[in-house]
Amino acid sequence: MRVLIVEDDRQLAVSLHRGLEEAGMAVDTVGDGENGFEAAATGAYDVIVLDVMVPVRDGFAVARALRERRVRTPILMLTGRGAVDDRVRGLDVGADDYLVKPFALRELIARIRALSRRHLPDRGAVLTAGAIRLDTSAHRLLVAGGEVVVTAKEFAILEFFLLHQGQLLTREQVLQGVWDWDLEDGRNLVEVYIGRLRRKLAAAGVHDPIRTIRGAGYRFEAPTEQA
Amino acid sequence: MRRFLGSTRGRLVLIQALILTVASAVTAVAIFETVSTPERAKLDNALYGQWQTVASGLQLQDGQVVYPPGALPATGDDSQVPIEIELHTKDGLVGQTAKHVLPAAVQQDLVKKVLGGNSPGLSDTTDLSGSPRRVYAELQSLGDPPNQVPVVVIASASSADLQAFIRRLVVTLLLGGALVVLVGVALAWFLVGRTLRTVRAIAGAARSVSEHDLHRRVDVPAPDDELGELKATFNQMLARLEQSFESLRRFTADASHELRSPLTLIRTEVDVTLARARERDDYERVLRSVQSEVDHMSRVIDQLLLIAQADAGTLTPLRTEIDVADFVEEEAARWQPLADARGVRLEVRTPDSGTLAADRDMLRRVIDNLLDNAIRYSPNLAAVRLSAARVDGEWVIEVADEGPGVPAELHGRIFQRFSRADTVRTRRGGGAGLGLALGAAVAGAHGGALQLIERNGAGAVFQLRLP
Repeated sequence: MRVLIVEDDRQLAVSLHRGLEEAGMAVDTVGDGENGFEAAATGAYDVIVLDVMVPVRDGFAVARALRERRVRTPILMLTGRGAVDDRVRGLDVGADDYLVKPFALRELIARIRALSRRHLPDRGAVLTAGAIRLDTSAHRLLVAGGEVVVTAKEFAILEFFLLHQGQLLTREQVLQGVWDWDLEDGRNLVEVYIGRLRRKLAAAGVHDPIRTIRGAGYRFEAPTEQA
Repeated sequence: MRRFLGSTRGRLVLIQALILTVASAVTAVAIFETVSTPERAKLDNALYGQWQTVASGLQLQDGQVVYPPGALPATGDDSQVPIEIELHTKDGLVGQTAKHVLPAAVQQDLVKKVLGGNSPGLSDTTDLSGSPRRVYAELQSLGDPPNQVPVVVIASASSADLQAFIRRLVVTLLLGGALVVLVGVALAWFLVGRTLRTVRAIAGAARSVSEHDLHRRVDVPAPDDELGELKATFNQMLARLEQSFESLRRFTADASHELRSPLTLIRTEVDVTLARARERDDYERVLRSVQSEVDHMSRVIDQLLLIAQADAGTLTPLRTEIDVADFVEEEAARWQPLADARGVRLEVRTPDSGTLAADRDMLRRVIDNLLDNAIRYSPNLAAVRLSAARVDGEWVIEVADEGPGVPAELHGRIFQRFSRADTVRTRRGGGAGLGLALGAAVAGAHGGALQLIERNGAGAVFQLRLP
């Protein structure tokens, strides 16, 4: 993964550079907004880490300029203030995420990874499997024509399984694929959520489309039509 | 003059003066009329009465005008007013009382008018010495037609006394009125001044108050009315300001203390470690310790910033749609490792679905704080219950533990900053006694509340209610 860091604090920049490289990323670092814009505009990076307060052109200006240039690379902004206005402004100019200083390096790495994952090509709008119909653009789940109310994460897990129907998925794969950032999962969220989904689908008449393969993971098998 | 008119006192007094002047004038006129009119009438009636008496007693004898009763009376019947009578025919004066008082020109003018059918009735003129006289001149016809003899009867009396009386009356009324107005104005000036004194004192106090002087109060005697209220309210405001500054001072001192502790620890450990060559493990241990203290300080600083924003009223949540069930499950997942490490059972109850519009970071901060406290303060093998449910149109997120709970006498203070109760519960875990105060502030900023609920059995139950 190629990451561009735009940060004028030399010590911090060196530290971040080293930290991200040791995490397995290919890193370039520049110290001001103008150089940052030039480098990012080449489109060669997977994620751009952009400090709000860089000289020559500040972070907001760079982000706005990149978006106007149709550069779609995900941008993560670093801000020292954390005020709501900064965050809103950042999202307004086209940044995808932000981190307030000081932050843990782990958190930065996790968010960078999450942003790069989000950048996958568009999936199909409606996913189906038997009586299950998942409309990803309208964000609705229909089972046998009737709507089933699910939470955001339940929806995301089902979507993930529907995209990998028939494949064996490990717990880690599901966790990484559904939760945006590296959650320290002490409760086996995957298990909890699969349980919730099973319950809701069963209530709608679809029984156990998600199979637990003991010791290995899970597999989604398209349910046959109910008799 | 403009300054006078511009001042409150000036305007009030001027209005007062105008009112008094008008009132005095109206009263004076009324009194004048009431007193002077009867006096005038008295004289006029005496004149007319006498004229009647004389005119009706006149007779014609052998072509001569005579007054049978005898000599013409020189005073009026009812009063002691000296009244002079003159009798004129077209041939001239035919009779009069003793004195000759009217000037010839006046006589002739009167006679001419009366004989010409143009009687002036009652009129004013002057006598020979210029003193004022009141005159009644009218025609009395004697005899039968066609040989009637017209006689002009003129009755006159001195009106000098009357005029003098009226003059005295006018002067008295004018002086009295002027006095009333002056005294009234002076009194008004004084009273308004007294009243405004309280206002001036308050202005003076306001001017002299600075952050060093907040213990001063307005000390002027004020009556028990709006002014007294103004004074009391102003003093209350000063008291509140003083309290505010005091609490700000204390807060700054507390915060500074909170940050010095981890800094001292870091300083000491680093100094000791660098004093001589150490093993790799030593360096690693110290670095981890520094990392932990840095985290602690970051948390404290974050909390301080949020609390300061809450104080200034600028704590604005960045609301997004949060799936409550997902949020709670994720919180539980994050705290499970710590619960496992402490031998605490974490029980979770989530709703089937439902969303809440709130600031995710702030919400996470509050629940993190509650869970952190609950888990750290729970005895071994106890349970901590985290639940979320929709109750009466609100979301209620509850964290209940089975620890020692909060003593009843600290219930009220636990949500204050750096309160001992909060500190005692959280010091071990690296809190600074700000967690609950912040939780309450965040809840408030969302239009909700953070409460400590009384429930049977041991342990503390915290409820976060959000609309």
